[in-house]
Amino acid sequence: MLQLQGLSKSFGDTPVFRDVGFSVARGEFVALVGESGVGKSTLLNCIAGLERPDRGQLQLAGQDLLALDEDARARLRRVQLGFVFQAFHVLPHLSVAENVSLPLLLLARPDAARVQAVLDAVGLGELGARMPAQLSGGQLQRVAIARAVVHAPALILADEPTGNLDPTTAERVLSALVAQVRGSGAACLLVTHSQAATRHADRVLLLTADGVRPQA
Amino acid sequence: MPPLSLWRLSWREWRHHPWRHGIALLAVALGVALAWSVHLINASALAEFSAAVRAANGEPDLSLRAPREGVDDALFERVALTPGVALASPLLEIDTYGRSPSGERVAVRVLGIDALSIAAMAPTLLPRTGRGEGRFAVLDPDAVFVNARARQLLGVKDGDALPLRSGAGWQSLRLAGELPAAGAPLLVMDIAGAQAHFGKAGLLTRIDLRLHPGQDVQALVAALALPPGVTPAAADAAEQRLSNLSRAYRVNLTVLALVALFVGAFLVYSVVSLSLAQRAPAFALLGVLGLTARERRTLVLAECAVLGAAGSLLGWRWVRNRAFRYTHLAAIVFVAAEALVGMACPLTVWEYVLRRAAPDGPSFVAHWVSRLLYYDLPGWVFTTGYVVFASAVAVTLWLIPPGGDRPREGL
Repeated sequence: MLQLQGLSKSFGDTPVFRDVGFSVARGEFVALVGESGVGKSTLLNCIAGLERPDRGQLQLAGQDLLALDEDARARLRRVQLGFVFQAFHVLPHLSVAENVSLPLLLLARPDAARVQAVLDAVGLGELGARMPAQLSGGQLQRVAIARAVVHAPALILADEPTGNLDPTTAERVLSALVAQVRGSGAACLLVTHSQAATRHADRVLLLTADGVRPQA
Repeated sequence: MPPLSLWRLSWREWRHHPWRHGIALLAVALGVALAWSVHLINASALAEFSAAVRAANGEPDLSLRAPREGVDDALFERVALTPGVALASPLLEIDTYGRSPSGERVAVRVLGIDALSIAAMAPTLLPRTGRGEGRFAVLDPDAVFVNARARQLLGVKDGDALPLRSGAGWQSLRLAGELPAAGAPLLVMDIAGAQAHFGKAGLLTRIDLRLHPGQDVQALVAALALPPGVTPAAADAAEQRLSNLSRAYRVNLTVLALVALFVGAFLVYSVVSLSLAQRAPAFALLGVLGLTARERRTLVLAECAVLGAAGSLLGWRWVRNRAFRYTHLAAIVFVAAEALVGMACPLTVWEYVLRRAAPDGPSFVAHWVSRLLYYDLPGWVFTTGYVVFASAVAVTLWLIPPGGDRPREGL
């Protein structure tokens, strides 16, 4: 599903990461940990095609991501990727159901039944008509998870999805994320600082300045 | 092209921020209305100024001109009673010869006038009776009045008999005074006397009209149902003279129109930019979720097109506004010229300086806004685009001329 080889990135003279290589198989749940500033989010942006690495190879769903132009990368994201952000990023003027249906709208195949099914799965089945301002942080993150899986992507990228939540809510959100990933058969790459979060992963990778290696 | 289902997002965004888009709509409408109203003021002021000058100088708002042989004077009564006509003055114009005491022939124009209406219509044609003449000499069918040039060429004085050629013979009239009118040799007499002496009984060659303020000339002409051979005419030379007189006034108004256009355009640009900047997080999210830059740009432009179309519905004729069109052409020619000589826009230079002075790099949102607005393409692509667009603007000037002219044939 995802293959990285010799990936390096720097901002000007400041190196961010170098020689990163690993792969994630379909249905696999991988956690990526590392110290702050080591480049975890930048690596996630590179995998999503939002940033271009300086060197290396990156294959996503069988396509060479670095050979695609920006529009083609956007179209690939639309079909193959789901995102969960630390700051939720739901649109305030859309209802919960409309936020969840965004990826389906981008694919021009709105499906209210599918949206309701996903909302039910994350425990928000009764809240589809509510506006984001009426929801708690944990509920908003579950909206984001529902949005990430609604179009059945091949890979879900989650960047600190529990970073803004208390431990109890974080555990509930993580459980929802894991359940959706397992249920959909998608792969998931979870960037986190939370040791609790890593317990849900099939593998844990440690990102350092010299590359990435499995965490003991 | 973004998926059509995304229009739902735009609609929800508009509903969520009705005031913001209401202001944008209002700004577009105001900008169009401002430019168009100044244009109307300009045209109206010129018309009123021209009317005022005509009134002072004796130029009618409209002249109905008959063929050389004349038209039945019954037309005058019908015209004078037509709604919209404030004043009608009948004239009989005769080009003939006068004979000086020395026997020399002098080409003169004789105007038969209605003394009761000519004072209001053309004060310079109102005769001033000479010494020894009665107050009603202007109504005397045998009395004639000359302007300074005619008096000089004919060499006559008040009270003299003045022979004028009429058909195969000569008519002797009494010189009863003078006219203030300058110019070529001109004689004025009562219209009934002129008809009688020159064999034009019951005929007129011209009817001058003063119209009620705001009267539509075309509508009036249509209502008059003029007989064959009678044509409405405006004095072109007088128009040109008035145009010259009022040029400075119109230049001032045009400058005002340009200022209004810039203010209106700046208002629209500011409101739309503010709206876009405030929606940047939404566009950033859509970009991450897979909406391409081209689709985001199309979505924004389509929204602006809807706003622009709605805002300018009542002012569609602004596309023919001369100031707007030439300012538009000048602006894009300036941009194209800058690109051709390799000069950066001063605003861009300032932007770079300010960016360098900023302590931090662009934010996440700014990063995506910049991706929405700026493109990393070779310079020649932009230069070609600017030149092509400037050419397109120039071609539209030819195809759809400003100033209310008709489009070129075939359009």
